[in-house]
Amino acid sequence: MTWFILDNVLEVWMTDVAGVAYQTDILNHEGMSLLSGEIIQIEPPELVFPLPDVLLEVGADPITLDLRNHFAGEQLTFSRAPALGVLDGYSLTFDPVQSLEATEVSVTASNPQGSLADAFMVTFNAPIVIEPEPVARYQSVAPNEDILLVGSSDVGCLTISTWSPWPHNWASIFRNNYTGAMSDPRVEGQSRPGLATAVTYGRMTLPTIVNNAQGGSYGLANPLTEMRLYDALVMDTSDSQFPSFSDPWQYPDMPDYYSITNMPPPYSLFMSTSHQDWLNEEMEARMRLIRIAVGQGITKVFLCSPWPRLGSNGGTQDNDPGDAEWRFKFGSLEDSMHYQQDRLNAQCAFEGLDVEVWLIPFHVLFRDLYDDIAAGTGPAGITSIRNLFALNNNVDATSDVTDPTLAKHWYMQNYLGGWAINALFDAVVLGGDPSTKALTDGRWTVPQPFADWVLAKVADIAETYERAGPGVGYRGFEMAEILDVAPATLLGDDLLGHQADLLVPSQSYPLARTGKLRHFFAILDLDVSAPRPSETIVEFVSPAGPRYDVSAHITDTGEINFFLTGAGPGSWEGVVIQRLPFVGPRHRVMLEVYVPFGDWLHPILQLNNIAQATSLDLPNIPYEREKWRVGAHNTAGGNNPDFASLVAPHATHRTLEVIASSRYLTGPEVFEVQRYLSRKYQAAIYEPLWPDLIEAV
Amino acid sequence: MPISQSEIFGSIKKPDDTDAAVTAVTFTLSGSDFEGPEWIAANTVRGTVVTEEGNFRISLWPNDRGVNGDTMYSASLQFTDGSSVTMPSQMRVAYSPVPRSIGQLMFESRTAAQVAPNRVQVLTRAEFDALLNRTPNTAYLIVRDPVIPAPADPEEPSA
Repeated sequence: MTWFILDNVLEVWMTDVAGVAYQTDILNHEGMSLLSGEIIQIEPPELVFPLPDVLLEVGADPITLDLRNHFAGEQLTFSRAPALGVLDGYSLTFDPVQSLEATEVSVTASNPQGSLADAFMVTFNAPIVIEPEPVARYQSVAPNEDILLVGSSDVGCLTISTWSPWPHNWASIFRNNYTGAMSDPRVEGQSRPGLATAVTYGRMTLPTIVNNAQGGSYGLANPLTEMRLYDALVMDTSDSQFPSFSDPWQYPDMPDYYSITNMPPPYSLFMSTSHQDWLNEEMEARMRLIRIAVGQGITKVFLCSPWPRLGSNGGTQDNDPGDAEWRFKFGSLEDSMHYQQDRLNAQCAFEGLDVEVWLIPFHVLFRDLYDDIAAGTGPAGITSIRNLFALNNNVDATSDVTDPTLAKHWYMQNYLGGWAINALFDAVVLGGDPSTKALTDGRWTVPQPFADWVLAKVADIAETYERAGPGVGYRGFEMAEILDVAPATLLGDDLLGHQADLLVPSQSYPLARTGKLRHFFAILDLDVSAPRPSETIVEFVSPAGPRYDVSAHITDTGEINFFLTGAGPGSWEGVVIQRLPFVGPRHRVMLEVYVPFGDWLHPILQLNNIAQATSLDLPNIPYEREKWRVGAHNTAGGNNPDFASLVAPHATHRTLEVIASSRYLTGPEVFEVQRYLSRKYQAAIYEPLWPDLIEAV
Repeated sequence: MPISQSEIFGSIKKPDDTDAAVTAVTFTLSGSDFEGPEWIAANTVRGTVVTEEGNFRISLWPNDRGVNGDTMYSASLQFTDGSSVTMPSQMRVAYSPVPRSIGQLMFESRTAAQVAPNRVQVLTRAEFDALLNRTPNTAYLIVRDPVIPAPADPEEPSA
């Protein structure tokens, strides 16, 4: 056979799974080419990316691992044991048609120089069966029932701290208990009938409260040991706060009012694995509370939604000007609360807990009040949402606490805001008529026009906001947000192109249609084994000539810089993304780009050329190191070619996937695409791979 | 309906480089298979030979065109002195629109086993360049053209 090859075979070409040919060779056992007679030095197989665990739900789309992305080496052939999935050359596909307990699969890559194996776990979980139209089981809390409120200082406004019998001195309570100790439900001899509290003062997250409680803190007020005494559970939402969000190391161009945000992921402005870690911990803590509560006979569970924080303005907390910026935060907050409520209810259904979680939509109340104020239809004297916020100097006993011109606390409410949230609490949780609510606590008196205005909003919310329960009713959760939506389904005709497999450098990939480019995502597998100059990785190609290029520069200090460059008339500036840490021989990155061809401006950043790179290899590092994003504003117009094809010309940097859209995606759509990619590449960026929220044993 | 055919040719030699006086070349299909509506029954096909020169030529149904695709051929030679030889290993005939030598066929058959589950196709540079669509996961071996000169017109079957 050897001589036949030597005498007759001139070349060898191999086609990949797409039919694209590449030239290769035939070596004998000593590594000599039978075509050229040369000794070919080949290296034994090398593991460049460990194979990821595969966790799929039965009935989900099959997932295919391209084994070439994990093993490097010449003339590789692959085998696996046990024979799970379908191995076709270098593609290993798992189709979760039935349940499979966690099973270790070992893949071996071999070439004439050796073999190397890597193992991973494959699990197919049974799907969650959700009744199509579960019957809403909302029940208000009766006057003789006790409520356990587990939360932090902002919802302390609900009970003893803001709208309580005289003396009204929430500010004093806040300061005196700032260490986080539990307050006695009876403060200065006063308490709200039928309402017990497990409130901490000072911002403290729910996971911290639950951890402390399980660690034996809080004594007699321990919300876990005393839960049998209560009939209903009300949970605060710990908001996500990053006081140094605008630190130049992290987000140099981030507007200041984002320095304190209450946009819980997954709908935060920018994807962050640490934001997601935070939400995961929060959700896990809620589930721990709910499990204990249900076990102790509690069947009524409510989740408070937060209201947006005022801006910190660099830490002085005077929020100047604040209002318009504040209003913008409601959009993603609404989406996030839907996700959080649905996620908890899905988990309760999954675990067979006979309970449903209802929202106390404080954010809706504040949004509606704000909109009236902005429209000039609020009551006399209410000119700013700041009228409702407490003074930042909360021991000031002489100033008007409603004065919007004074420095405000970033989330605590004064007596106006406190009365408002208590009115909503009465209507939603207690099922009462807040119109009979007292207007005075003995020290502060709510003006009747203000009360009428708030009561109208409260009545409307209680009647029409179905997730709160008492009105039209929340007829079950849809869980749409946790579906794995394919880009074609999400974008329809706006999907310009989707290259779902490794792009071969020698091939041009036509887009699904010729059209404008606005927004795209790419999964890049970069060679960071040594510094490299700026080199083109991905190019969008227009029939008329102009291109739009993504280039990567691996710097001497191990940073990955991206350059986004458009050729053609009126080319625009490049964008640099950097400070991704230098680790390993290769690094996998998700790149998202808003392309500055249209007249679009980011509503917050006021920029039209924005890119974000997120490491998929560093899921557990501090958030400021995992990604980098930057934007620029470039004059639009002129640079608006139709693109028809895509190339990934680099031989070493690899492009694993490209999703291109002819329009800018909304925040939730961005989330869906990112989740699609994070699941496909097994990067735990969003919710942990199913099943999650299960308490570790 | 006609079924696919691939033509194989060759020349049979003795180890001392003299022509073997072959009287018959037969290929026996190992099992039945299907191509379209046709049922190809396991059977023996007899080639044409030029006895004095030891040349033969035979048209065979290519195994890879079968619905099952798992059949093979075993080959036998009969000589004028009454002796016979059966090839020690079975061979697999892949479809080719052009005649191929027995050596090329054997090479293809062994190579296919080496590169499985990938497919293999042996062809000339011109044939490779003329391919409109290349089959995924296939090794294309570009060989000299022709590998072995085709024999002169053979005699009619001798029996």
